[in-house]
Order: sequence, then C-alpha cells, then structure tokens
Amino acid sequence: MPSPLIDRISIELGAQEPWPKDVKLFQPYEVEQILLPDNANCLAVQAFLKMCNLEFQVEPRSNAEFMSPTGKVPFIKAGRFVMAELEGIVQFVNGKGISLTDGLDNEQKSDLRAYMTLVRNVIEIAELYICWIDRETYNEVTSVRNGSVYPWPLNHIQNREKKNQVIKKLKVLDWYNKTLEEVHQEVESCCEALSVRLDNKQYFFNGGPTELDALVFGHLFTILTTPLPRNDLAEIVRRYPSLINLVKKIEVEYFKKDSRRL
Amino acid sequence: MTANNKFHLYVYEGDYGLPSLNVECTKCLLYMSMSKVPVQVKTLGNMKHCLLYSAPYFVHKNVSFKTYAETVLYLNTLNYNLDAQLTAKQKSEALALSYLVQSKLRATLEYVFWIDQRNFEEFTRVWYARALPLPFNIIQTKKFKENAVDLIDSLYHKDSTIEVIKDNLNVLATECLSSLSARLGTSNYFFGEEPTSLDVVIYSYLAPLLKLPFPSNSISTLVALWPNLVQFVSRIDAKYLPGLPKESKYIKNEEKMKTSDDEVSYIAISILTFSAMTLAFGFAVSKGFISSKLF
Repeated sequence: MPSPLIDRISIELGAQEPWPKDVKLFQPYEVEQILLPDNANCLAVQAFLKMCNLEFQVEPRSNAEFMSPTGKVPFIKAGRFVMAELEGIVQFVNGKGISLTDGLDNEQKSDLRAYMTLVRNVIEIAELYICWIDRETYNEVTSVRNGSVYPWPLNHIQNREKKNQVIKKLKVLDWYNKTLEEVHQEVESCCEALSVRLDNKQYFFNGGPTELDALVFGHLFTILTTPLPRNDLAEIVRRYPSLINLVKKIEVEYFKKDSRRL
Repeated sequence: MTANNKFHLYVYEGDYGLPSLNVECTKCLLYMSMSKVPVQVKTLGNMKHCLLYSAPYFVHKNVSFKTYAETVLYLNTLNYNLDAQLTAKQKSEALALSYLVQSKLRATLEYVFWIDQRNFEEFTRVWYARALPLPFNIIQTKKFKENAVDLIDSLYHKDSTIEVIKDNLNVLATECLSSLSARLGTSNYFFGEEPTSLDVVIYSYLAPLLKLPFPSNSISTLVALWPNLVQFVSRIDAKYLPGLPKESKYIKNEEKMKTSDDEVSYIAISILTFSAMTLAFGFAVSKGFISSKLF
C-alpha cells in the first residue's frame, strides 16, 4: 500500500522524456533469495511493463531491498529516475502518456483502486503471514532464503530484524493474532470477490488488461508455482477456475518467451 | 428477558456529534443502530468499566467479542444482517471498497489524531485525559499513540520525514475520497436506498474527519470538498444517530480560557503587580535603601 514517497517534480520532469532504452528492474535473486510476497510484487511489475509494451532488463541484486527508495522491491531505474513498487511505477509510466486505464470512467477507476487495495491488503498480507509467522514455513524456507546472501552471524541478525518488522506490521493490521484457519478464510473471501468481479471475462475490465490484472497475476501465479511446505494457499486459489484462466492467459500472452512454467 | 439475555456494548464516549471518538466503537454502534439490535450501551467512564473491559466490547449471554468484525459475524448468526439482500457482485464490491477505505483513511485518521504534534497535544490528549479516569487515561493514550506510530512506521520507509508522510497521506486520502464520491454519486447509500455494512465502515472513517475540531486541520478539511459525502454523513446522522449533542462535553473550559487570553485578566495583573512590588521592596530593604526598625 505505501505508495512511494513520490517526488512529484521528478515525475513531471520525466514526462518530457520518452521511455529510455536502458531501463533496469532491480529485484532480489529469484532462485535462491526471493520470498513469496516480494516475488509476487516483482512479477506484477514485470507483467505491467510488458502489458505496456515497455522494454526493460531484470537486474538481480542481493541487496535490492536496501537500494530501493521505499525499502521495498522491486524498483526501476529509468534514465535519471528511480521509482519503486507497482503504484509508483504505474504513476511514472502514466506521466509519460502511456496508460492502460484511459478507457475507464471514474466509477471503474475507483473500482480498480478498490480491488488493488483488496489484493494488497489480503493476499499480500496472507503471504507475509505464511512466510514469517507460520513456524514450519519460516524454518524451512523463509529463514534459509532470506539469510542466504549474508555470511554466518549476519544472516541470523537480518532474519530477526526482518521478522520483527513483519510482526509489527501484522500487529497493527490485526493479523498477528489470527489463526491459520482465519487467514485461509480471508484469502478465500478475497478470491471469491475477485472471481465474482472477473465474472468469466477475459480481463477485469472490458478494454483489455490493466494494472489490476498485473497485480492479481503476480500474486496468484507466485502462489501457484512456489513450492512451500504448506500449499494451502495454492489449493484455495485452485478452487477458482476463472482466476486460473486469467493467470494462464496472461502467462501465455506476455511471458511465453520466458522459461517459467505454470 | 433476563438480565443475562440482553446485549451489552462497552464503548469510548462520543462527543461533537460523534457516537464515539474511537472508530471501531463507532462502527459497532452504527451497525447496531442500523440493524436495530436492542443493545445497552455503556461508556468507559468509570474505574470499574475501564478495569474490566476494553472498548469496543460486546457481551451477550456468555459470549463476548472484542472487535467489530467478530461482533458482526455473531450478529449475523442472530439474523441481524445488513448485507442479506446484496447480490454476490455487490458483496464483492463492498469487500473491496471497505478495504480501500480502511487502508487509505485509517492511516490518515491515525495521523490526524495521534501523530500530528499540535492535534495530539491540544486536542486528542486533552480529550482523553478528561474522558477517562486517572490511570487509564494515561495508559490508553500511550497505547493508542504507540499503535499509531507503529502503523505509520510499517507503512513508510524509516528515513522519510514527517512532511513527506503528511503529503503522501494527503494524496492517498484525496484519491480515496474522490473514488468514494464517484462511486456514491447521487444515491442515498452505497448500494441503493438501504444502508449496508459498507456504509457503516465509510461513515466511521469520514465522520471524525468532518466533525472533530482539530487545531491543525489541513487533512481533515479535505472531506468537505465532496458535498455528496458530507450529505451522506448527515443523512446517516439524522436517520440512525438522532439526538447526539453537537456541543463538546470536555473541551469547553479550554475554549473559555482561550477567549480570555485576548481580554485582560485582572487577577493575573494584580498577582503580577503584587509580586513585582514585593520583589522591589525586598531588594530595597536588603540593600538598605529603605531602613526600617522592623527588619
């Protein structure tokens, strides 16, 4: 949710320049380091940029999180400008006159915003919960991967620091005291809402893909393809065939050249 | 009906025409009023209630709930359901919109209440200090403030300054309010003519921004820019929360003191004159300018 602390001047300045050739998208290492929620967000941004037909190169860095202006991955470097997270990047791209939501009226735009916050506040938080609070997942996957890029004593310190941050976040959002069943319940009602909204159409809005489709794709694709000790989230998502269809469609349309497989 | 069978709800007190100063309590109160639950409301105003309960606290028979969401789930099982007539599509929209409001306006409200230095010192802290009995006002205020600081910390990078945060919250709130206004249009409630739980949530976040007289109110005056949202709040006020006093209960004295700042206070002048005279006289005597056999 925290849209980056946008320097509005830089957006306005950036608007005068065309999309630069050497845009780089910084993210953590996909194979050994990245965690479920981060991976989902990175994928969402990649999908969005591909939907806009904009060129970029993925640049894996072990410390991408600390390079980012908002402390969250992914972020892009376009010419002299650095923009982080999906909302910020969407704004930056819109500033250049490229927009996926031009055909929508005000009410649809407010729908788009509402569903994006829904995904961010339910699915993303549930991913954080599974990764950091669920003991089994934390011990077997999260702590190993998050610490993988640091030498011995530092990995434990970094893990603990990050875990405390996540716990603090979950506490203020009233998710920390939820049981695993309640988390599943929340995810289920969110998926239900999304699939009702999608209503077996191709994309959420008739005019073609939008950033909402990109965000949903990022999260659901990652949930479906990431092997975790618990795959209950993936099972919940699999109960909604229309969402699976959306994910498959976007994967084929925009990512078929990549080596990823659903 | 035995005493045990009644619904009880413990909340923080309301003021300035708000049912409660706490957002969660407002939600509970309004939901019950809309779905016509015969509830007995008690405010956390004395030692005993403060010691035993934390607001909002809902009791029925031998079950009790501490949050709005749980309370609503329980009320739904008793057939007090505002959302029964909604279609699946409307339910999905309601869920999305309620998350939009909660994620964008909650941070704004917490900022306006607790983080903004001037509001906190001149309004929020003073109000709670007077509304709650002695040890609890300090403990609760501290808890609320810590919660707000944690929320802002978890949303923003730790290097960001307070101005940047404020600017960004302003942008978020504007975005959210304009979405809501577009969605509401000219209808009475968000889904037609009957209120739903979405209206409860939206009212609870809008009303404090509209009604509370915050000393520094750059964010809180935003809502007034959308007349249909203002009408929406007053419509609910008139129909479901009649008879709430617009006057403030606790900060009256404060305002009186402020107006007397401009006038001349004769007591203050006489005390000052008296102490200045005593000082001068004492100095003169000790230096021996005035000699007296008395000293």
